[in-house]
Amino acid sequence: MSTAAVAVRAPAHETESYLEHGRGVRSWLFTLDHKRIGIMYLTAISACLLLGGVFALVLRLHLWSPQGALVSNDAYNKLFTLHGAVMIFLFIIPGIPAALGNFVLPLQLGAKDLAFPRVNLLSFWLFVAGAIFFVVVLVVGGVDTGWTLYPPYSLESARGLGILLALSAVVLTGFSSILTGVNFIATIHRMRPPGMGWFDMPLFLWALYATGVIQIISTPVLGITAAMGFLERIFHLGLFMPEYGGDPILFQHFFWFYSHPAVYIMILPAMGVVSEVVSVFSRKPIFGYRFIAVSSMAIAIIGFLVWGHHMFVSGQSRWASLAFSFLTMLVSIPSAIKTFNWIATMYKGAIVLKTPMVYVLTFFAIFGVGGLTGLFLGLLATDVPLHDTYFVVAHFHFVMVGAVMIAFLAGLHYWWPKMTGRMYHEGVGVASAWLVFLGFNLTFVPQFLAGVLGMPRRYATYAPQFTGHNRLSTVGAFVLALGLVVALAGLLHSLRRGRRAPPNPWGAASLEWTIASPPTHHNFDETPRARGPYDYSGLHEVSEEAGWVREEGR
Amino acid sequence: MDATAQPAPAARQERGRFLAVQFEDMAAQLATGKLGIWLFLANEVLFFSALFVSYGVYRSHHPELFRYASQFLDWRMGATNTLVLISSSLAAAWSVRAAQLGNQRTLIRSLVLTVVLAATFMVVKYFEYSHKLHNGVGWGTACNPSPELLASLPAAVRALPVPAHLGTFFSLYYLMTGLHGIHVLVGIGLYVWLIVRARRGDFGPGYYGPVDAVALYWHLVDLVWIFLFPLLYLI
Amino acid sequence: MNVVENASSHPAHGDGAHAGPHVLPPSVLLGTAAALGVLTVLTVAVARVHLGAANVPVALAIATVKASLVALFFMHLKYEHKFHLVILVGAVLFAVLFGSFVMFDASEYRPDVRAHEEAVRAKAAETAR
Repeated sequence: MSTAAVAVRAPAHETESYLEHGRGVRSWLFTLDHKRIGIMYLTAISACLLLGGVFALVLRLHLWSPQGALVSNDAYNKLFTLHGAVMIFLFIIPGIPAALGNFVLPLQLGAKDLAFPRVNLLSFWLFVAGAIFFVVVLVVGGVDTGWTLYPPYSLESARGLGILLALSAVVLTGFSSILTGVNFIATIHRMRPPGMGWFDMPLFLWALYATGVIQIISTPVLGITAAMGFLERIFHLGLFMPEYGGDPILFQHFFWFYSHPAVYIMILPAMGVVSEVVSVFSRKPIFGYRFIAVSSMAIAIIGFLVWGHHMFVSGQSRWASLAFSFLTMLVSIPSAIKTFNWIATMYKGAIVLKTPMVYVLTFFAIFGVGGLTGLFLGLLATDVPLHDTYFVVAHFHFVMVGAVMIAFLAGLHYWWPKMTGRMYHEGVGVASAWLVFLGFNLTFVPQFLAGVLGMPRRYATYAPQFTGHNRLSTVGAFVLALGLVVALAGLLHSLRRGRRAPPNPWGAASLEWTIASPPTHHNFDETPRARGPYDYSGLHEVSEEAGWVREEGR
Repeated sequence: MDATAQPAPAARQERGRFLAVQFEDMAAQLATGKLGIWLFLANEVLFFSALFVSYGVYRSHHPELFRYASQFLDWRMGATNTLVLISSSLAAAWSVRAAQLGNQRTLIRSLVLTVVLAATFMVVKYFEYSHKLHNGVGWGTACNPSPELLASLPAAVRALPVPAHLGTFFSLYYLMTGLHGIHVLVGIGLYVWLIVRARRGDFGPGYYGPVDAVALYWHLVDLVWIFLFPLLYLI
Repeated sequence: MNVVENASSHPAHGDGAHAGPHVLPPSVLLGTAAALGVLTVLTVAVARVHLGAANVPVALAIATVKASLVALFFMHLKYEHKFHLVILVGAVLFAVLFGSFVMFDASEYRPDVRAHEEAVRAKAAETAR
């Protein structure tokens, strides 16, 4: 440890960091340390992001010309299916909660670990097993059903081993997600330090709590549905397949009872990251703390009542569609509350444009567009013409990639010094943020336009008048990929060459910044006493190297 | 991080053998474990819910099929198993009491009784399944009741034509009772583990979390069966 | 969600666990089991009486009473932390919500499915002729 501050702060206690505590592969693979499990998750989901990203680039290259430039139509169908499945199940859903959340949650609570470390490790290995299954799907010839796996098509006898493996993978990753949710909720409930009541928690914890509720309530339904689909495909149970007396719409209901709330499993932790970053880099307490906290719970609860808006044109009855359309409008209220509070936090703040904050600013722009275009799709009348066009594709990429992935990058850059003990190069970080933002918009804005003009999604070919839109989109995808490569390069470079990180490089007030970077094996020698997570009084920057220190009474 | 706060060595030494590092004391560990198991049970409720919902949808669409198909089930077997499972739940609840009181003999006896009753449940289940499968009553498209079985039905039922998609009922029957049966098997495994630990003398008033947690799980398994029994056997 | 007393009352974490475990007396355990047995007999008896459309609600009502007995006594919910009750009731509520939406929609689109099935059957009959 190079920083004198740490040595002074922790006399006579362990000083070796969690990275040094225990050596060898086994000390990682079977670790019960939430920080190491978080790092393993981070590595695993980054690999999945890479895989899904490569699929995306191949798809975009293929769509360079209207007849398709690269692969066969059949291969195209398989590629977009796996792109969706890998990105959703293996990157976006576990991304922020399992990787960043695992690392940060106990630290923000001043705790030594999560409530159930073994369950945490089990969750990680279930995730890895699920990921391996998805890769095997690829090897055995893939699936071409779309990530939604709708029967009857997906469960016809022509679909082979691929669909069975994909369904199994869904069950495995689902259980991984449930166990994470159980662990997080129990930990937040029971292991808050003295001085931290419910409304004294960092908002990231509120977000993870709300996420946990969704994970526990909705994910089991996905698990059993995938299991039913698996058995239906083999034994023709007559539950989802009309030819055996089954009801395919039932599958859609079951699927979306999970998969719509899953959207909030993705976005809520992202919103949590944004709440942390926007306050720290505006050097101002978060505006409307209670509103942001409660709106997370409101989103989680209302999010359960809107799944039918995915089924407006696929056989659902009109009364159900009306009800779901109305309820969908309600969920925009808590989302808007959050957005206004973030903006109000920045108002008259001393905004510092460090990498995490730049990412968060781009988040605001993209989430705004993504959220507002969602209204078009939630309204019954406008959804009918827009359904299954590129407008939908652009909308959900704005929310899932634009908002969630960018918030993930913001969080990664924010907590990176804490995780690794190294500072990355600011210029590279900021450059990556702008490249991602530009590339992202260049990719998906043309898709909104093509969608409004009627270009349908999921086809390997398209009408020639959309050539311009698609070429812009393809160029954008490569700019986006470049941005991600720059971000990765900057982070990896910091591991070897980066400056040592002080305990508190950003001047943040939550508990994880009161301990060494990287933390020791048990994080805190004694349970700390919490104070307001956004109370910046007394914090001042000693120097770049020593970071921020709190002096009482200043 | 308060540099002045010295760790109390005495407190460190007093940490029980079963107290995990992230908890301050046994009470905190017990309460957290309990919360965790309850959250897991919430997940279980939703896990079963999709099957119950499927049941509701198909029964409301095909009431005649369900009335017909339930003739193949023997309510006496179902009722027996209900009573067996209730007794098993009672034994499980008793084991928690015994652990809390530190009554070692009663603890082991009640745990063993729980397992024996759980195994009884599975034996009855085995006879039910094998009787059906033996007579061609599988699930989905594999449901072709044998003529002997059809002949054994009450005369009023025999007069009716065999409804189309009879197998859908049995898909639900096997899925629901099968998933429940898997839970019973897992429960048996957990109780065997508890017996091993109880014989080692792990449990007592200071540490009975696992006995309590497994019992909660076991009661939920009972609870699911309480609904399955009338819905499947008493149509 | 603020039902649980927060952990700041440290180190006694609030829920009475520090006051020693709540031990159920044999009378409560045996009484619960006996009630469950009686209700099992009752549900079988009621099923043998033909109540028409009321059969299912009655069976479900008895099952719910039985389930509540198990939850309140065997599972200690009556004596414990109220938040555990919130979890169980919450899970059941979400399951009911889920089920009622799906069953409502299924009953609404059912006529369309039936019409379609009849059309298919009619067409098959026509081609057969």
